[in-house]
Amino acid sequence: MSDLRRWSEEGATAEELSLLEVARRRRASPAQRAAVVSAVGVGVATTAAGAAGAAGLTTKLVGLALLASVGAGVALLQAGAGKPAVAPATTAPVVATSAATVVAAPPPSATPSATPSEPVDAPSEAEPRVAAKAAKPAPASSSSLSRELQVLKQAHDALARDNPNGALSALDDYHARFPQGALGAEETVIRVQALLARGDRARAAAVAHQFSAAHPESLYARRVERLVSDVK
Amino acid sequence: MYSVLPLQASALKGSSADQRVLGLVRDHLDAVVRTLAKLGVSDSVLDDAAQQVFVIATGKLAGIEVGRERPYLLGIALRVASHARRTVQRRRESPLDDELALPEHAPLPDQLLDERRAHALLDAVVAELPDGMREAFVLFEIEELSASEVAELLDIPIGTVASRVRRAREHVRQNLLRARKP
Repeated sequence: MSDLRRWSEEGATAEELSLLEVARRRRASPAQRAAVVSAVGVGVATTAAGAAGAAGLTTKLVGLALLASVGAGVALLQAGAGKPAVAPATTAPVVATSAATVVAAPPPSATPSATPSEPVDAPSEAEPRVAAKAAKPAPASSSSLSRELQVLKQAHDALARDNPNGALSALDDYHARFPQGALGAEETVIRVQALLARGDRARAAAVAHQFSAAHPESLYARRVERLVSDVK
Repeated sequence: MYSVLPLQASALKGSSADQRVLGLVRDHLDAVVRTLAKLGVSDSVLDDAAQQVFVIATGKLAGIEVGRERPYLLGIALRVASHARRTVQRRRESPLDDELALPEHAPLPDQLLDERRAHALLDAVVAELPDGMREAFVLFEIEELSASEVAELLDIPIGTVASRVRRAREHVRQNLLRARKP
C-alpha cells in the first residue's frame, strides 16, 4: 500500500495530532546551535536580529569562537607528533577545510543520494573539532559569561604568546573567581595545553584524567586524553 | 540578514562552502535534534550527536544535493542515533519507567498545555515502538518527509514504509490509551 497520507488525514484523534504538533515544535537550544556551528569549524553564525534569541548568546558565541581556536591549537598539537607547541590563534585558521580533515570525505557521488553511507562506528573519525562543554552548570548570565570569557581569553592569549606560565596564572584566576563557571570544560582544555607547553606532562595527564573521569561522555575528555598521550 | 563573526579576523572569509554549512545548521538543526531525541539519543549525548551529524555532513558537502539537504541530514542522524543507542545504555527495560515519562497511571495533561509533559509522553510512547517502526513514524509523522524519502533513507520499499507507519500509529494509540488508564 503506497498511498500513505498523513495521520491527520487517516483518522488521528485531536489528542494524537496535538502530541505530534508539540513534538514538531521542539527546537535546538541556542547553545546547541552555537556549539554545532563551532564544531563544523566555519565560524559563528548568527542573524542580525539575533535569531537564536538568547540575550547572552553573543557572549557565548564569542566564547565558542575562542574555543574553536583552542581546538585548532589542539589539532596542530596532534599533528605535531610529539612537538608540544601550542599554536597561536593567528596561525590557527578555522575554516571548513579543517573540518574536512576530521571526517574523511568521500568523492562526490555522481548521483547524489539522500542515503548517506558513512560509518559512524568510529566516533574518533567523526569527532567534532570543538565540542559543547562537557558539564552543564546552571545557565550563567550574560555578564557572568562575559567575565569568564575575559579571563579565559587572557589565558588563551598568553598561550598564543608562548607564555604558558602566564596562561596558567590566568586559569588559576579563573578557577578562583568562577569555581562553578560555565566554561569549566574549556578552562580544562587550555590548562592541559598550557601544562604541556610548559613541559609538565605529568600534571597535564593528571588534569586530563581527572576531567575524563568526571565527564567520560565529553568529547573534550577524549581530546585532552589524546593530547597527553600524543606528547610523550 | 546573515553574518559570520570570524573566529580570527583574518582567518575567515566566509567561503561559499562555509556559507552552505552554516545554512545547513541554520535551517535543519532543529529537525536533526528532534530526530536524534525521538530516536532515543539521551540528553547527555544529544549535543555531541548533533555536532557529529553536521561534522559528517560538512565532510560530504559536495555530495549533498541542493534541495535534499534535510533528508540527507536526517539520514546521517539515523546512523548517529543508532550508534549512540549502541554505545550508551540509555533505554530501560520499560521506557515508561523513565523518569522523564509520565507515571504509568497519570492522566494526560489537560488540553496538552503542559508541553514538557507532552514531550515526555510522546518520547516514552515512541521509544516503545519496535525498531524500524520508530524510524518510519518519526520521519514521516513528525519530520513530515514524504513516504518516498523515508523509503530511500531506510532502504525499504515504499509499501513497507506505509505498513510500518500505520502499525506504528496503532502502537502509539494503544500506548497512549495504556498511559491514561486509571
